[in-house]
Amino acid sequence: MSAASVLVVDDEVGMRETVADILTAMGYAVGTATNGDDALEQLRRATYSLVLMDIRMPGRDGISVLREIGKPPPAVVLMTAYAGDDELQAAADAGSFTVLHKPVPAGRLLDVVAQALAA
Amino acid sequence: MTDQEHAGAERAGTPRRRGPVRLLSAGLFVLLAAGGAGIAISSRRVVHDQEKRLLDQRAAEVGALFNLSGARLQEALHTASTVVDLTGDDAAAFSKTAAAAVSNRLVGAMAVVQDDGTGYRLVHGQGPGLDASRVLAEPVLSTLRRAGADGVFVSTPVFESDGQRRLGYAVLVPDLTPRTVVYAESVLARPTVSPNRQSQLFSDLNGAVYAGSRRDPAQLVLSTDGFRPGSGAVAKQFQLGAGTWLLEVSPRGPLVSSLAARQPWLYLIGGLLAAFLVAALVEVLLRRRQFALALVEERTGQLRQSLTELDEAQDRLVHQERLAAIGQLASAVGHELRNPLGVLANVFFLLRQRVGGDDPWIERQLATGEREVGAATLIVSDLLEFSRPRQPVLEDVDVAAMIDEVLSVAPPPSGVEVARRLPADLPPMRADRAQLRQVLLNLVSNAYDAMPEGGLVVVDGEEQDGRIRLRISDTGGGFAEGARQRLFEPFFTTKAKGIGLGLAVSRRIVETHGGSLEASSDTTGASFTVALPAAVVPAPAAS
Repeated sequence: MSAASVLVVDDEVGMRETVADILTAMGYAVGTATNGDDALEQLRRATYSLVLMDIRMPGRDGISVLREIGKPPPAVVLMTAYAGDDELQAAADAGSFTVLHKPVPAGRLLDVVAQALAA
Repeated sequence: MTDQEHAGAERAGTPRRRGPVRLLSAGLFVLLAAGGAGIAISSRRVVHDQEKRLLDQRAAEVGALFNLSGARLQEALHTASTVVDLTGDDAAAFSKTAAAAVSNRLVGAMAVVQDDGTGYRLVHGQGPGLDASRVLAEPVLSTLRRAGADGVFVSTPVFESDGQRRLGYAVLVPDLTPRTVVYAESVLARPTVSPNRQSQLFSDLNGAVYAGSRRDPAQLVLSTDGFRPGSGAVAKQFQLGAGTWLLEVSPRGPLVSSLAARQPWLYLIGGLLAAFLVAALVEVLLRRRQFALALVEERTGQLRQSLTELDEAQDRLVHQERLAAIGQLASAVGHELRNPLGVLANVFFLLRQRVGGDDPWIERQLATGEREVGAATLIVSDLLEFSRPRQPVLEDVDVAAMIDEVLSVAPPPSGVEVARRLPADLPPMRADRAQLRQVLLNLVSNAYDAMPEGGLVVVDGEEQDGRIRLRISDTGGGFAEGARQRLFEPFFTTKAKGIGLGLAVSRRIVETHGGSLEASSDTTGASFTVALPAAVVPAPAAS
């Protein structure tokens, strides 16, 4: 599992950094991006196995980025604190592995990351 | 209860259409019909009276005519310069005194004679011996011929002279100067008068004239055709010359016009018809009124009910608006709090990774922090779920793993034991993972809160008919029956802290899943049972 790399995309600095720290602590190689455009830029520069991305961000949102990325790899797991039905449907349609509802307990987060990487 | 009261109650209870209405209308009909009949009867009396009055009047007229004729003739005799006496063989002139004597015997009977070329004939006569078929005696005719004109006859009463019944008559010759009256006497062959032809004088009457004041057949001077002397309805005396005469008459037909004669019948029929129409009209109006009243009552009831419903709907609306306003605020605050709480939870996780485990003091601080963050997160989640319910996104959820997750987020406080009694082969639930976690967190947190002095939480479950029943029981003493009714109402709480949304939101989530959430209580404690559909486990491939 040591080689697996995860890009964490969230405009909220606290969430972005704590999630990155948790994943790093678990042995993943972690990159971060602060918004959708930044995420696409990061993905052009380096190869990631998984993108863990907030849906609602200023500028380009998570679903839009997911559509840009297209089919995995990398797999994409979206996270949201808002959870509107339309949003969930759009995320599923765009090919999100799953949608995590914030706040996500760390244990649950790690389980999902492991599942997404194994898929 | 008296009969009246009984009738009233009956009317009030079951509105009868016909009874009272028919009574009133029938009464009205009888009243009006009786009125009509009364008018008819009185009208009949009026007609009768009128008939009688007309008969009297006509009789008086006839009498007056007789009188007038006699008077005129008398006057003529008195003023005549020449009076021709036809009684003798020669047409000798009357002396004035003779004329006066004759005039006293004259009656008002009249006849019209005409010269038809062959001789003078009576064309219309009135009085004994004056029937039209009779050829006048030659002396009379010669006189008339001399006079050269038609004349008017006046006759005497039948009188006895020389043992014969005789009749004298006189004629005033009009338009002859000097004025001439001729007088003649006839010897009556028969002792009684012959019926006369239709009389102009009597016109619409039948009658007879007596040369005396009584109905004495011997004194009968003339009678009209078809009249039986002595049967007259009205008798009148009148003066003629020196004598008193008697006239008796009967109407030939009704004197009152036929329409007037039928008036009583018309009144009766009209009265009955009007009574019927009015009664029918009243009946119809009364029924319509009753119908309208019933309708008004019904509509009023409907209106009242609608108003009540409207009031209730408005109350509900106000309540809902209030909830919506709370929800909006909660939603806004919740969104802002969710992320920081999530970050805090991550921070506690990271801290535990680095420094936890060995030092009990640090472990205790971390547990407290995690528990409080978990509690805060649950409140925020409940608020958000309440203000903006979300459709579940179903997936298969392993029950034991879910319980682990819940207990890691909400570990039992000190003094509380959690006993997990789940069968090893319990199939997964079909549920929205986040929502199910929220439900179980609410139930477990409530169980903790019910036992501030510590106790036991039992989590057990079973599969039954494709559903998984997950029960969370505590030993907190249970809740009152009164509280049971309201446990699932929003903002209802028995706890000193808490906002009372947990169970309301939990039940709604479970029901949106097609499941149920029930509460029960005994002296030991409360227990809540979540029943959700079990995931359909695919049958192992037949290889």
